[in-house]
Amino acid sequence: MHLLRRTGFGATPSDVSAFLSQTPLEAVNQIVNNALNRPLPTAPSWATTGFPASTATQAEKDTYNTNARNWLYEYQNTWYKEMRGGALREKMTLFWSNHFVTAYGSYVNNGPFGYQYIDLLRRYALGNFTGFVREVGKLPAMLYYLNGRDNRKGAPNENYARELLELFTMGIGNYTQEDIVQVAKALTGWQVNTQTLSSFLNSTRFETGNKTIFGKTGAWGYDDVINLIFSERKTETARFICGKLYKFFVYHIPNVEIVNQLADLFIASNFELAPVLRTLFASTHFFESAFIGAKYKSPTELTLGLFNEVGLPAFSEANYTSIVRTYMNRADQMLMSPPNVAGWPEYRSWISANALARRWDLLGILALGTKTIPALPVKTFALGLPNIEDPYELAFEMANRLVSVPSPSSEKTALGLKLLDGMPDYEWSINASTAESKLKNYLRYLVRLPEFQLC
Amino acid sequence: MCNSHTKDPKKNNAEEGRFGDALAHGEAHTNDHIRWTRRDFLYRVGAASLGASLMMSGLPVRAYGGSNLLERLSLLNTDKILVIIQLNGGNDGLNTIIPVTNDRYYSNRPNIGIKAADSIKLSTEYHIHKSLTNLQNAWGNDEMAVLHSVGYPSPNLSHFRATDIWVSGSGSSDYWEDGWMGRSLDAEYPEYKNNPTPYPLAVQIGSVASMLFRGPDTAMGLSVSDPAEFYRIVSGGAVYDPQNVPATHYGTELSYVRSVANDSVVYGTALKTSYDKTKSNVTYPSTSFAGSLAIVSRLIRGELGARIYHVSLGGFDTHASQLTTHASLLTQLGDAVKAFTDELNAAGYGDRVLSMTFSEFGRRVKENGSSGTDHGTAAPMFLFGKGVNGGFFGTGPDLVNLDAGGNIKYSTDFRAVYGTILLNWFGMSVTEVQQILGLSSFSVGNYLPSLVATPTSEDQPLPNGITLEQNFPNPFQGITTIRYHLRQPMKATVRVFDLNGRAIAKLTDQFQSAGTHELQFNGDWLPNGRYIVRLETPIGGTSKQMTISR
Repeated sequence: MHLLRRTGFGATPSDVSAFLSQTPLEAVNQIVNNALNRPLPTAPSWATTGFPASTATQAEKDTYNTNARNWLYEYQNTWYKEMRGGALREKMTLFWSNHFVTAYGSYVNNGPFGYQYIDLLRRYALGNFTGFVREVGKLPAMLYYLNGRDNRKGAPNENYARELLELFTMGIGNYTQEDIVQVAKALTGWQVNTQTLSSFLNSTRFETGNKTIFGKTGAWGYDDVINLIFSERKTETARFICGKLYKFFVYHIPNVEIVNQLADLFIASNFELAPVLRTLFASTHFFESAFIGAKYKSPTELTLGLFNEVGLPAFSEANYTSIVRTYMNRADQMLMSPPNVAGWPEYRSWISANALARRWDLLGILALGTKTIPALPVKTFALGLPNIEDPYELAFEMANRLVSVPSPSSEKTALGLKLLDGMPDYEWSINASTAESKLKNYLRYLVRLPEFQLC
Repeated sequence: MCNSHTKDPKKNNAEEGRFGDALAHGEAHTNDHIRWTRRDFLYRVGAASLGASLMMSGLPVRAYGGSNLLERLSLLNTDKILVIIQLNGGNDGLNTIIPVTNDRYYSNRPNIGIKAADSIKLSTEYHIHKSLTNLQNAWGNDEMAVLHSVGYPSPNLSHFRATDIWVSGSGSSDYWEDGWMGRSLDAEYPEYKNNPTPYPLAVQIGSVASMLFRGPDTAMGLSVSDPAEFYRIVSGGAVYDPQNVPATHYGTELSYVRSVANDSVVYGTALKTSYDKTKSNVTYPSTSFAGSLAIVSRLIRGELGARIYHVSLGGFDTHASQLTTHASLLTQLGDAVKAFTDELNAAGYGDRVLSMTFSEFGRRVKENGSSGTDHGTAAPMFLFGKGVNGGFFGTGPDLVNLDAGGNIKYSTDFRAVYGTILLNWFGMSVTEVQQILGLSSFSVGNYLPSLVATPTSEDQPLPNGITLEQNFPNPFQGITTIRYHLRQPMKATVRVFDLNGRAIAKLTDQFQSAGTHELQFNGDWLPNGRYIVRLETPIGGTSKQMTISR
């Protein structure tokens, strides 16, 4: 379960039984191979619909903008649903959306940019990091979000240059302010065509002439910057990225030795991501018991984990929208819209008092349901468990299915009493008229526990 | 005492158990623990027998366990509040406080430089952005200080690193994991983690917790965006045991979540109660930033007890087309601050509340090619409140001697500003402030009047029957007893001062019956030396010297 929860979004009961018959190494290989081989989802119908030609009427342009915004909202749901079954591939897509950050607010009238962005993250999810860096800076979404399209000859805008070095590749401390100034110059001239939904280099806006980056002088342009990063700051970049992967998959405080080993492998594999992940997941370090339960679940991991482990309610599109756009946003995670270019801060910041309260609110709604949002199918879930007519065994089993670190069996009685909630134990039956509401309330109790916020 | 830390009471001591990983147990145990804490507290208060019912801001101070905590509490001879307004993204200082007589400003900013005629005059040299027109009143009343070119050596131009430096109060090359306010509160409430106060010490309006309130090993503040909603969700929630967890990374994090959960449940009620005591008396602008300040005002006027509030306004990272964006942000700032200070002043809180703005950096002197500005360095800070000495402080931006990156060199270190606030606003000791800021010295600013009192110069002959006896034992180590007599019921205040006249402890401050009263003072936390104990009443005051000697 540790492996499945960390590399994906929880596991359905059938996933669990399939993986239980494998050795850990086989399981890791299967998880990584599944991620590499998972087919890309079909593009939405509007994916290539660009802004109307300049001859279009204002009304047509306004209609486009309205539609484009709705496409973005629609795509938040689409991605969320894809993540549920997408395991490691989508987990990495989520990771990258918190690394190469863009927020849809900066291109809200150009919805297809948002699709292009997630599509790129997905295609490179476990791919080649060098190619990834090369392409991500030319994405319209990124050129909008970090002002790359405003960066031009004679008047550079440093925004993208700085974050490229500080947040996307080598991390702070490995470049000077002058490097940023020079990188910005080398990245000048990129623009976006909203009609064709593509970016292009406008050579009249490109700053020709020499730039000195990391001590190397030349008439550098966009590709040269990427080459210089991976030649002059190879180790720094590899360590920075492996450190982030470690934090995301293992624990917030990186083990420097392990990170450096992964970084060496990353460099030796020409910055291919799959071998690094395979090695990390298969390591004994990854399975050390001290780390089990030590990671904070993001709202995405929290909710999708429940849908996988308890069961998916019969949600309508509107239900998804209210979970994704309202409730998860209130718990501090709006998909495709991290708070700033450093992304969601993760770790303990998922559990500020405010975020925890709102997380409880969301979990209560999922467990009990509302007039409009169906509850998690907890009775169906319970029916799949052993000993369902023994309230103590049932309560104990439910807790251990859902919480990462198992409870000692001495807790069985106390948990059973929580489930019974005043009902004498001899009256318990899964078919009793009150059983379902007791199960719902017990599920609400379990998922609100501090233990459940960790995995 | 709480034996259940080693044995489970429900198990009739039949076996030793590990409890941190017990789901149902965490909750049940906690009820016991809370009772224990309260009993223990009562015991400790009895033992300390300060003879005074310590009240702070209308709420009984309880649930402390530290040896010198009660004294340290009274050390804060103040009910002062600090409101920190963070301008996220890097506010453009030069277009906020505009150097209208500086040609360099206009030559560097041909497109976005703001003309004297389009701005509001504060002095011949400096105008303020016209979107801050609502601050004119505060400026005119000497209730606004502008601190020029605040920054630090070797400035960092990363949003995130620079923000960390500002909120942790560290130097450019130090990497501190906690916030300057978190450390300050930790210094005042060292037992906070194990025995939290019944109200939050610090409140951040927002959701994602800032490093600002992070103490050395726990969160010292609470983040809330809407007290009413917060209360609805958390009320009736379970309270968990943060102490008994497995000795693993999991245990560490579980303890953290449990503490936050407990804070939420306990503080939800305190917040709601204070929030509901008052309504907004002025019309705030309909921005969410103004909404945050409106909440802060209600909590302050509802006497929550929190000493620090933190609100933020984002969007200052004006790399492109900054004129309109910046103007709109400053309008939000100025209008909300005006409503907030008007409301507090009218309610009589003007003297108790200090507001301070900061941003992680200012912006580049030279505009960029997108009618915006890139990341810069030093920038002005604002202080608001009736307790402020109004006007300009420090040296204005020097646009000739820029640093290598074309940025302004700082003239005031931001840590000196923090130090001045801790010293002259909260009344912390110099040593303590130096410890919190990790500085061997800092220059105290003139924008906040000094708190130093002059306890011995104003003595009048006291009417018969009001006397302060020499403390005994004296000289003393540890505890000494201070005895005084009142001939009739009246308000009496007893404070201890150091020889610099700084109030370091308040032992009582309330209406008292006639007769003989005794207080005990524990000097364990003070260095050897002479101190002054002073009795003040409405009809006169008197002092005695006492000596700590070990």
